[in-house]
Amino acid sequence: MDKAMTSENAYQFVKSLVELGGIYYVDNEQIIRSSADDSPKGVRVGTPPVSKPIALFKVGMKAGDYVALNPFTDILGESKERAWFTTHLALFPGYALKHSIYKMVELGVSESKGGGYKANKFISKWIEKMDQKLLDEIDRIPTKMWGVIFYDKSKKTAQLQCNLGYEEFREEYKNKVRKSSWVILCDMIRTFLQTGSKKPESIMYESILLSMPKLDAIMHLLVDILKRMEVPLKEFGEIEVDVKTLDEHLTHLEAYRESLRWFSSATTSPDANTSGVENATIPWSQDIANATVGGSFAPVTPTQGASSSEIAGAMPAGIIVNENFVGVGGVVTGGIGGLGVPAGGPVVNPNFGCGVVAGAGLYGSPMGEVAGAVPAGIRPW
Amino acid sequence: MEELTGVMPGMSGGFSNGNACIIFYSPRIYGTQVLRPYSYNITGNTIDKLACGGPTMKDAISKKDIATHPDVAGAIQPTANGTPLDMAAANQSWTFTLMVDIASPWLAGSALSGAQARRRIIMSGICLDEPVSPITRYSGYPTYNDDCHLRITHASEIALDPGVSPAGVNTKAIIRSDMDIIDRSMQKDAPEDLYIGTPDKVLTCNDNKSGISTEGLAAVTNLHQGAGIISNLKSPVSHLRQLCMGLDQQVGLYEASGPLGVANPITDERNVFDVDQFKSGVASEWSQMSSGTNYTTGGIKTGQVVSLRTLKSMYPALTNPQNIYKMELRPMSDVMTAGGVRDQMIVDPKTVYSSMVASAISTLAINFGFDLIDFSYDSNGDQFSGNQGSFQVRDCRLIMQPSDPAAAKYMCANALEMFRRQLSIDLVPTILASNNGQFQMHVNYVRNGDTVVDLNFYDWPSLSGGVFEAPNRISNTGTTSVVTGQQFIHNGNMLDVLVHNVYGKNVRNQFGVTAFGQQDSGDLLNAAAPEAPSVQLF
Repeated sequence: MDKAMTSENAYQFVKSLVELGGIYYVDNEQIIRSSADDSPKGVRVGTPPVSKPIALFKVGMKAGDYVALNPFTDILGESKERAWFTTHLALFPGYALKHSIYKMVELGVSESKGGGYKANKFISKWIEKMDQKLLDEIDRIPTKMWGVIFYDKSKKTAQLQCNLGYEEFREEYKNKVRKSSWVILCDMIRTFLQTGSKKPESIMYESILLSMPKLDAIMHLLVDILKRMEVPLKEFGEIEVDVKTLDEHLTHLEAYRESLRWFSSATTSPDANTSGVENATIPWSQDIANATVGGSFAPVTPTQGASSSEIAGAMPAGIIVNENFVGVGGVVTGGIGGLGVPAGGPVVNPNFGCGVVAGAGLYGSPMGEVAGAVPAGIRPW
Repeated sequence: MEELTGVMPGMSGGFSNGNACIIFYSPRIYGTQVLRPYSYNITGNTIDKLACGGPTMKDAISKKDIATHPDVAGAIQPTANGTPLDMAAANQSWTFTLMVDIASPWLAGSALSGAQARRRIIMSGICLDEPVSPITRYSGYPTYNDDCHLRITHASEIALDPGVSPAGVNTKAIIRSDMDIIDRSMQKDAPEDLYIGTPDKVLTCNDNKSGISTEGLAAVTNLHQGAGIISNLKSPVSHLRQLCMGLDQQVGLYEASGPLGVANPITDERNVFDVDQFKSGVASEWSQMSSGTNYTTGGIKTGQVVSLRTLKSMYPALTNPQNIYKMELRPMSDVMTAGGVRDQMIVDPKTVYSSMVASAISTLAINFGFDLIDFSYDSNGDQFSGNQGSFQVRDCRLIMQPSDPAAAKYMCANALEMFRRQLSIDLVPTILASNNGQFQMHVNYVRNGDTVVDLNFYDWPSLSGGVFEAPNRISNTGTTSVVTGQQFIHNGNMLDVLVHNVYGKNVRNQFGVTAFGQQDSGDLLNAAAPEAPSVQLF
C-alpha cells in the first residue's frame, strides 16, 4: 500500500487508532462513541463547563455542537480532546496485555476440561502454572498497571512502563496476588512483548519530529508494541490490527500535520497550559516550547532499569488530573479519561473493564470513581 | 482634487453637504450563516519568528519571509467548526442603509478657511418593524413608517480631509472608522453563549485557573448597548499586526524608561517583575485598537436602536421623500435560486477559507474606499514574470467617486493597486499557510448587498461546487470576533502564552533577571537553565 499524504488518509489513520481494540467507534457524524452503549465520548469545555461530544475531524463534516479532535496540531497548550486521545493511546498497551494474557490463561485453564490448546506455543509454556487463581489475580490487577506509555518531554522519548515488575506495586497487592504469580505474569509480558530477558521498559522511541514530538513518539511506540504483540493479540485477544498499514501511516505524520493545518479547533484550555512567569522567563535560548507550555515536572525518571521507588508519582502520557471527562456510565470525576469503562457489551469482550480511572498518578492515591458506574479497576471480566 | 458633487442612489458618488438618504431593502432569504471566528494558533515558531525576527515585532512581521512563514501567516485562522446562526428572524426583516454627508469648517480664520473636512457616514442594519406601509408598498408613492426602529449592525465613516502643504490644500480620502456593531439580539440566534472575543477581552477576562473569570464583561447577552468591533480585526494579518503593535508599545514603554531611565510606577523595580501589570498594559493597548462601545458617529449612537422619526429630526434631508428609497429585492439571490450557494455548515477548506475571505474583503474593500469590487485572484500568477499572483478586476466603484470620469478613473486605479497589494499581504499568505495549495478566487463585493466568494484550491477539485454568500447589510454575521466560551478560553490562553513570552524575553531578561528572579549580570541568553527533572509531563 502506498499511502498518499492526504487529509483523508490522516483521518483514516486517526480513526483506526481511536477504534483500537473496539472500545470506541466513530459514527457517521464523526462522533466518537463507546462501543459498550453507544454513548458519545465527551469532554467538559467552555464556561461554565458543559459536556460536549468529541468528533473526529473529517473534510466535509458538518459544523455542530461538538469538540473537534485534530491531533495533528502543534500549537502551544493542551486541549482536553487531544489529551484524551493521547491518554487513550498511552493506556492501550496495558489493555492489550491484560486482555490477551487473561484470555490466554482462560484458555489454558479450560485445557483441563479438554479445550485442546496444549499445542499452542504460548499456552504450552505456562500450562502447568495456569489455574483459576491466576485468572482471578490477573483480574484484580488494574489495566494501567500492565503497561502505560510515558513521554519524556526533555528527551522527546516515549517509553513503555509495566508496573508489575516493581516491588512497590507488588507490595500493595501482596494479599491479592501470590508471589509466584508475579514471576509468571512478568514472563508472559516479556514473551508477548518479545523483549527477551529485558524489561518492558526497554521499549522506547525517541522522536525525530520537531513539529509534534509527543504524538510522534507515542504513536511510534504504540505501533511498535502492537507489532510485537500482533500474534497473541490476534490469537487470544481477538484484536486484529493492520500493523503494516499503521506503519505506513507513521511515515507520513509530518505530511498529515501539514495537510490538516487548516483545521483549527480552538480548544486549548488554561488549566492545561501552565504558562507563567517561571516558564516565560527561562532564558530565550532555551527550547521555546518548553519555555511556554511547561507542565508539571514528574519528580523522578522512569528510565530503563529504574527501581520501583523511582517511578513513584509519575504519570502516563496524556494523563489529565482533576479533569472531568464524560465517559460511559457518567462523568469520570477526578480521574483520567482513558479507555473508559465499557459497561455493557463492547465489541471485543462484553465484560471487559479497562478501569483506567485514577485520582492522580499511578501510586499513592486512591482509585477514582466513575459516577453511576462500577468502581474502576476492580470490575470483573 | 476634483470637486465632488451629486449623490447617486447607490450611495456612491459625490459629496453634498447636509445630504442624507436612506434605502430600505425588502427581506431576502439567506442560508444559515456560520460564525467562524479567528482562533489564535500560537506555536513555538510563531513566537520565535515574531519576537526574534527584528528590533520590534512589527518590524518582524513586516519582513516578507517572516510574514509568509506558515507559523506566522497561520497564527490567526478561522475556526473550522463554527457556530451556526439561525437566520429565520433576519430573513423576514427589512434591512436598510443610511448615508449622511457632513461638512465641518476646517482651518477657520486662516487664508485656507474655505477648505472643509467632508465626512460621509454610512450605516447599515436591520429594521425592527415594517418600514413601508404594506398598503402603499407597491404604489408609486409608498408611505414610510416613522416609528420603524433601526438596529445598526455596521457603521463606517469616510472623510475627505484637507491637508495643507506648500503646494496648497491637498485633499485625501481617509477611512476614519469601520466597525461591526454587536448587540445582545445576536445571542438569540445562536445555539450557545456568545462572547465578545476581541484581543483585549480574551486576555483580561481569561483566568489561568478557572477559565473566564469575568465572563459577564464579555458576554453578548450582557451587552446593554451595542459594542463596536473595529473591522480591521477581520483581516488576519492586520489583526496579527495590531497584536504585535500593542506588544511593541508596551515593551517600548518599559525600554524607554528602563533601569537607567526615569523611575515610574511601571519601571519601579518592585513592579517590573509583575507580569500582570505588563499584561494589563498590553490589554489596554489592544483595547484601543480593537473595540469601542457607545460609539457616536454623526450624532447617532451606534449601539442603540434609532427610529426613522429621530433620524428625520437629526437630518432634515430625510424629510424629503426623494431621499428615502425602497428597494424591492427578489426573495433569494440568483445564485441561491439556482441552488448554487454553498452550505456554510460544511467543514472543509473551501468553506472555511471562503468565510475568511468574505470577512476580510469587507474590511479591505472599505479601507480603500470601494463601494463595489468584483475581482479574481489566482495565487499561481505568472511565475515567469515574477508576479506572485494574478489580479483581474471586472468592475469597481468608489464610495466617494468624482463626477469627472478621468478623475474617477485615476482614483480607482490608485485604490485598486493599493487593494491588490494589501490583498497579497493580508489575505493570500494566510490562505497559502493552510497548506491546501495554490488557489483561485473570484469575489464580488457590494457594500450594500452581498459578498459572493468562489474560492477553489487546485489541489481540491472535489470541493468545487457552490459559492459562499454572506450578507453585508447584516454584517455582524460575518464578524470574526464573536466567539463561543470554548473559543474565548482558547484565544485567551494563546494570547496569554504570547504575552508571557514577550514579557519574559523583552522585559524580565532586559532588567537583569534570570529565570528564577535573581539578579544576574552575566549573559542571560546563554545562562544555564536550571536543572530540572528529566521527565516532564503535560
